[in-house]
Amino acid sequence: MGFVKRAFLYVTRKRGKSVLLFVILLVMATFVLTGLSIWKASEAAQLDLRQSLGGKFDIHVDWENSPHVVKENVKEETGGKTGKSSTSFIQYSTVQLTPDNLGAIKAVPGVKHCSARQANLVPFAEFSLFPGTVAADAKYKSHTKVLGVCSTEEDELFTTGTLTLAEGRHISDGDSNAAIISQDLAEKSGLQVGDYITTHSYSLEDQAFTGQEIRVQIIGLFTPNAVEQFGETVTTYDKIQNRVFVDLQTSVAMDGGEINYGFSAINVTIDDPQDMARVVSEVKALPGIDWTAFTIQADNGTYEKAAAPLATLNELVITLLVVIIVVSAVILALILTLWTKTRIHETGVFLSVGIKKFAIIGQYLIEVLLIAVLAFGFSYFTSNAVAGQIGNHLLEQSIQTAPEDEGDITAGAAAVDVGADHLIQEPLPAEDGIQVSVGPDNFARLYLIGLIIIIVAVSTSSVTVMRLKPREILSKMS
Amino acid sequence: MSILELKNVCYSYEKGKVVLADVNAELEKGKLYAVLGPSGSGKTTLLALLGGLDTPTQGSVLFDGENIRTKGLEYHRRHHISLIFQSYNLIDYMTPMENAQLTAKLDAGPVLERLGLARDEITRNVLKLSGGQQQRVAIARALSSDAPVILADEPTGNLDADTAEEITAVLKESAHALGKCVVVVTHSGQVANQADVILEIKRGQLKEREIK
Repeated sequence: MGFVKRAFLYVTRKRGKSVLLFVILLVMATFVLTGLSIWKASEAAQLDLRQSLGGKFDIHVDWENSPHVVKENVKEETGGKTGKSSTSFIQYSTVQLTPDNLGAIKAVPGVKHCSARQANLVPFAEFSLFPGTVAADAKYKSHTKVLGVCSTEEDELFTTGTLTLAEGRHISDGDSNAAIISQDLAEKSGLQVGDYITTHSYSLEDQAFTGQEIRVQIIGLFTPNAVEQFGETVTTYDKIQNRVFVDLQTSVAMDGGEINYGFSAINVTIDDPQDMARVVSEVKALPGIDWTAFTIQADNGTYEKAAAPLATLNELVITLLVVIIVVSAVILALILTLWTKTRIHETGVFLSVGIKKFAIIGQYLIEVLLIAVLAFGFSYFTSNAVAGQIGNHLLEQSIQTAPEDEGDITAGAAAVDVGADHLIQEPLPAEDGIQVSVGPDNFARLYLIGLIIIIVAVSTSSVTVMRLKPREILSKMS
Repeated sequence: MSILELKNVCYSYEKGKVVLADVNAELEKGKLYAVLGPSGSGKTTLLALLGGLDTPTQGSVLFDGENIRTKGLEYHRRHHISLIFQSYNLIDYMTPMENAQLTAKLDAGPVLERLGLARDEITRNVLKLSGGQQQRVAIARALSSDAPVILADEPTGNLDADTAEEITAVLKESAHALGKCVVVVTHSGQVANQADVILEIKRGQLKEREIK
């Protein structure tokens, strides 16, 4: 009779022991599979977080240290009533970032989006603007913010989903005299895609947009997905519904002077925040950017804040997994050792009839494996039932115990500061918990880990008996 | 010609107590041997050495003229000998049939039937049989393995007189009809009277006495 058949007979005839072992293995497998699933879910959430948040850095003029920064007085004014005078000045860099620089940075591996803007406050004759909640200087009453970009599709407000193109098309490289405005502003002003809007270039002499006439065609309309909250202060020109995007050439033309021919800053979003150092070093190595004029400011804070609870969860789960595996192996070895001692009679009989020791251990191993196959299979259902709840409970614990002020992360959405626009909203993956599911790969891992635990436990438990000579076992039997 | 031979066999415990001293014996097929001697004289030790359950401190045990250690003690136990114990030593989660089939080379069913076990008895739990029936199952296991040597340690020790007589008859038949070499360690005069050869152990020495 082969050892597999003997094992099958033992498992089917010794039902009490088999059921007890089944329960022990089921609990063990449920813990291991749950741990593995949470671990995998946590890793996937971290990857998802990295990919969805990305990392960001800005390349901007080093206003303090650059030798190319020029500060010029513009005009001296005398207050009418007070008689006091004030001095205005403009500050600019003679070295600026160009669309070519933008293209080169975009080509660096790992760069997801790359955008740059020129900003001007410009009046358009056709607009009926939405009023702000705070009064602006009277001379800017009919002005709105115009952003000059190479591509609106690459602009952060669009890449983050804060704005969505509702009609028409995006502004792209090569466009001239093209504009995108909000759908609300178009409706309020009786405009549509294809219509022209008119402004003038800036006159340094008049200190106003009274220069050459510029006609711009509306090629697209956007809708904002977030607006200022009630009670939030915003000027008319800063209201998102009044925002206008134009191509870079038009923006330069609006600027009027010869000061701004490019950008004073480029905003870069990368695929994986963990790649930040490499991407920054590759960007720094690009030819054509004068690094005496510019500096890089990296911002991985959002990712680090959001990733902290997941990293804590990951560490917690790995620790738990190790503990579960070790404890399972020890408990199983102890139980099997006790059972093996009660089977010394049987072992002696097998040895006396010439059955080899490895065949006897093989039988004991097969017995446990037969039950384990069933128990591990059942653990799929038990783990599925508890893994999600345990995973999210652990995640909550991780959020509470994480060292940073991660309280913001669970507050529905995190606001990502982009200068004056505080509207860019990006949902964080951690806020809805993690999606824990028991996949086939985890199942395969469970069987591998389970097999190792069982082999270790059976071998350990069999050592004491197998070291004895057959006669010693037979004398113990009697 | 002898099938099993003890050649200058000595056995002593680590503490120095000598159990067997320079024992020589030749055991033949077709004979029933009864090993007699007082308690602690070394009867079971002799059986363990013949069965390859233990090894002599000096000398050798030969099977068909070859030292049993040459092919290994496991091989010897598996192919050359069958053991029968006083406490039957059956596997409790197996039926009589499955016990008899444990290392069977022959069909165990007819062997069990020949030993008087009914068809319904051979498929029930082995522990539900009487002592005599359990010992018959143990003998069936020994016979089914088709080993040429049967070693029995007090096989009738736990049985009543009638059953002991039946078991002794089966062992005798195994020797005479099946041509086995049957060695029985016993205190029982009843068994000794049925033996062809008496092996008596006294103070480490083995004396052989053939019954005419």
